[in-house]
Amino acid sequence: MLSSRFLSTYSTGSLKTMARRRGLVGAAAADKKRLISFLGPRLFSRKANRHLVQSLPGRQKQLLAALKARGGEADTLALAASVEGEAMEIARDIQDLVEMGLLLYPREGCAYKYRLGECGRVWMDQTTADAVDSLQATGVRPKLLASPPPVTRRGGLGLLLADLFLFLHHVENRAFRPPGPGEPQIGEWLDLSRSLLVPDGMDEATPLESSGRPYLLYLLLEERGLLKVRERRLVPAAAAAQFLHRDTSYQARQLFDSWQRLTGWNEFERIQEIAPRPLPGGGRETHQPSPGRVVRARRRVLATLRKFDPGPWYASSSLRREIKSTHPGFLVGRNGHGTALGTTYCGIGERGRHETCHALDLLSDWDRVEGRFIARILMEPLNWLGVVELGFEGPPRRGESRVDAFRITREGAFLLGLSDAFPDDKTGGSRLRVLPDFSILLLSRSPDTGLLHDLSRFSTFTGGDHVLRFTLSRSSVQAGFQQGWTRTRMIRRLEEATGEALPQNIAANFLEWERSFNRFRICHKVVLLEDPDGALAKRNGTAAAHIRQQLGEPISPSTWEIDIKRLPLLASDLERNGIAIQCFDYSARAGHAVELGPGLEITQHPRGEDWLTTSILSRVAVPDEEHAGRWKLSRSRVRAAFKDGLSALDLIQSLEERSPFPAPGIRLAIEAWAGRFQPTSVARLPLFTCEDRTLLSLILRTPALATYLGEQVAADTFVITPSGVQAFRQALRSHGLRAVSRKTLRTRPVKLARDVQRPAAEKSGQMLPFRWSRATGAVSVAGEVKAQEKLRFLLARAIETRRKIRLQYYEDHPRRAVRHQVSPLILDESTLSAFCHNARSQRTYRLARMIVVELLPERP
Amino acid sequence: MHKNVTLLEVDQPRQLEDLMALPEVRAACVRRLTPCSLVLDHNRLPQLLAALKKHEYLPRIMDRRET
Repeated sequence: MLSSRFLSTYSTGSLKTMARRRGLVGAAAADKKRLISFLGPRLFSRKANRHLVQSLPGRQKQLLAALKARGGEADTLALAASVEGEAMEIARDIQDLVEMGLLLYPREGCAYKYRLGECGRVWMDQTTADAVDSLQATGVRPKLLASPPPVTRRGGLGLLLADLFLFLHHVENRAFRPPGPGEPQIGEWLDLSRSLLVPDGMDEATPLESSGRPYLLYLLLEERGLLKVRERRLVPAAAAAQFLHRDTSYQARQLFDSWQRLTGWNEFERIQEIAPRPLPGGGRETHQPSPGRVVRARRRVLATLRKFDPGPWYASSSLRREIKSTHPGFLVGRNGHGTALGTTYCGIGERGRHETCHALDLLSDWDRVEGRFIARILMEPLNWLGVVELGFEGPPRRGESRVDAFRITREGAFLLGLSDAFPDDKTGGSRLRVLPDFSILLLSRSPDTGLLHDLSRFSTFTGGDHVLRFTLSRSSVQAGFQQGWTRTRMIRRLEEATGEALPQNIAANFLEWERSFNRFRICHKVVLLEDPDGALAKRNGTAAAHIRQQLGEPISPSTWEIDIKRLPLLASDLERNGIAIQCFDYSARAGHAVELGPGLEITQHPRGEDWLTTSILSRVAVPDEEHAGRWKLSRSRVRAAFKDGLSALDLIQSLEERSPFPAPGIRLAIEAWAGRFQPTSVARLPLFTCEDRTLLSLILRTPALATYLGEQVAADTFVITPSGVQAFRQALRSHGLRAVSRKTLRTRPVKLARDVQRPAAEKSGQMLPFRWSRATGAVSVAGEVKAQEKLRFLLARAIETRRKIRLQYYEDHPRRAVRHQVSPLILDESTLSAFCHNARSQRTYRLARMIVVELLPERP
Repeated sequence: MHKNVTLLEVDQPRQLEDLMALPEVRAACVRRLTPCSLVLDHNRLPQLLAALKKHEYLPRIMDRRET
């Protein structure tokens, strides 16, 4: 009854085709009622369907099996993608099955009638599904190889763990910024890549491939919390040492689990044959899988891999076929009616030559997209993690995503849950050699990471590939002592690893290095008691004697070292005997210990009589004999401090952090004595130039000096009133500065400039002009001379003082105003010959076309 | 009384003389207590340790004086 109602939704034409395929003679002339009564018992008959299914060709059986695997209902497109073959042939097979009534149209929601074989979604009846039962869901058994492939590639977990250690060792010893969206770090990653071991097949890798391994290592370490960022640098976290000392099975399990969760690592983006492709019509939907989808696809590949036995070599096509038949849309979804995004992959395409990108078909190019994704997973993470060993018919090309065969290793079997035992083949003692020349050789590419970590604590890693080399030296062993390792522990660790006693010379050197290490100590938090006036020594009586007994032997005539535990008792004893104690705590911030100024004087307060403040003062100043606690800044002492490696900034900071107020005068003097003082020029013009910006700012902040500076004519040049030159010189001298008069400013005028009439302004001692502008027709400083005369005077001044000028000039071709920096050479009636620094050649400029002329302080 | 002092100690006076040849040691030296010990400026300790490491002098660093 139900079947009659269902079949009535088909068109008569469709029913006729189905009836003809089911053997009804004269179906073309039959009416719909007769067709339904014929098809009803046959389409839903278990026996009829079983016979029919058994007689089908292989691919049609695969299609039915795939549909059953998907729950008996699927999109036509997804169903087609689950079998191998030409797209047209698959479509024809599907149409055949529909015509035979083995594939049916959706029962509900079918708003309109399809032409037979063109429906986007199909389902199968339970009787057909039962008929498929006898068939294998996959259709084909995994293909075992008769012999191992000619080219094999073994990644190895041990190699990855050794690289993990090398990564941590690299970031511990070198500045390595965490990767981020900011500045590129190509150099740092290349440097890191060179310090890692090279797995099989990576010699010929593309840059993308070779950079992938360190990046995956970084992501794995970060995911496990073994790295942290300190001062914008990557450093190993405290947990890293613990992780390196865990057993290999634990490390392997943790890394394998971390990789499965990684969203930052995208195997799809690592397929070099696939490139992004513009979306047609500006669409937004793309087949590019999201990171979450890639993580799910990764798990699907692993789930399928678990169906293969560990040990034998399988053709990788078996893995692809298995996934394709059961979950063809595991990476790129084919949901909906299969046509929402068209019949080609959206947003991605096959990378062609000359930056071209070809479309990929959703039906026929599954192997080019999903197949390569599976190959990429096998080639990189699974091979590096030691889960699979890869086989190739011939060496793969650079960047090619292809694997011909694979086999699951023993480590892989453990990680995939196919075996309970982990093959623990850690480096035994016999693989480590300590040679008498202080080198340590590790004869394994998959060593114990705990041993590597321990060795790196007290020896220097010097590289290696198949053999890892470390070197013992005094500094490396003493660095180990600093980190808390003892000589006994180091020797025991090495002897355990080698299985034999150390060479005698090495054991002897360990002893010598330990002794020399203990001979040189830096002790923090020491408490010292100083008795500079001998108050304790002078005091008589049993109480004083008791205190002296408590103090023990002095380390110097008036200084004792105090045990911090006995400090409270001693302090109370001293107080009880009326001995006042002044206490200085060097860990506390220096307060108002000194007062800087006036001038170069420094006053030391009683609270600043500690050793550190006194030491700083004695480095930069001499004590005033007449006034106790007064010091005067001394040039010779400051210079001696510079020779000891102290910078001007160190001295200034040490003084200013002990003073309530900064002292620009003292700062200026120290800066000047530091040699940062560039020649200061008091020109005949009169000009004052100071090229050191720091010094200039200090001069401007010192009122006694700034008062002499007049108009600023350039960034570092000021005009001084002619009458103030000598006074300015003296003021500079009083602050420890010496002004230099450049003789080049006094050179004779150039011949042609000699005739230039000097303006009255100069003769009368007024300030001289430095800028001439045609717009105003006057110089920036008021003057009575005509504009042309002023221009000629300015140019002549530039020639005389050999200074550059900045020139704004009107050009004919093209008609525009241009700026030049020129060094004037010859001035005549209407032109100026000058060397143009922009054009780097000598040129002639017409005075009539000059717009602005500005005298610059610098010389050519 | 001077609390939280940083001391540099050696076994032989000659060793200290050798160390004083380094400008970083002179810069960090606050007061010479004995021929074998001197008080250091703790603010300059990072520079001092870097210089000592560079010249392959690795001192034993203790947080508290063992008395």
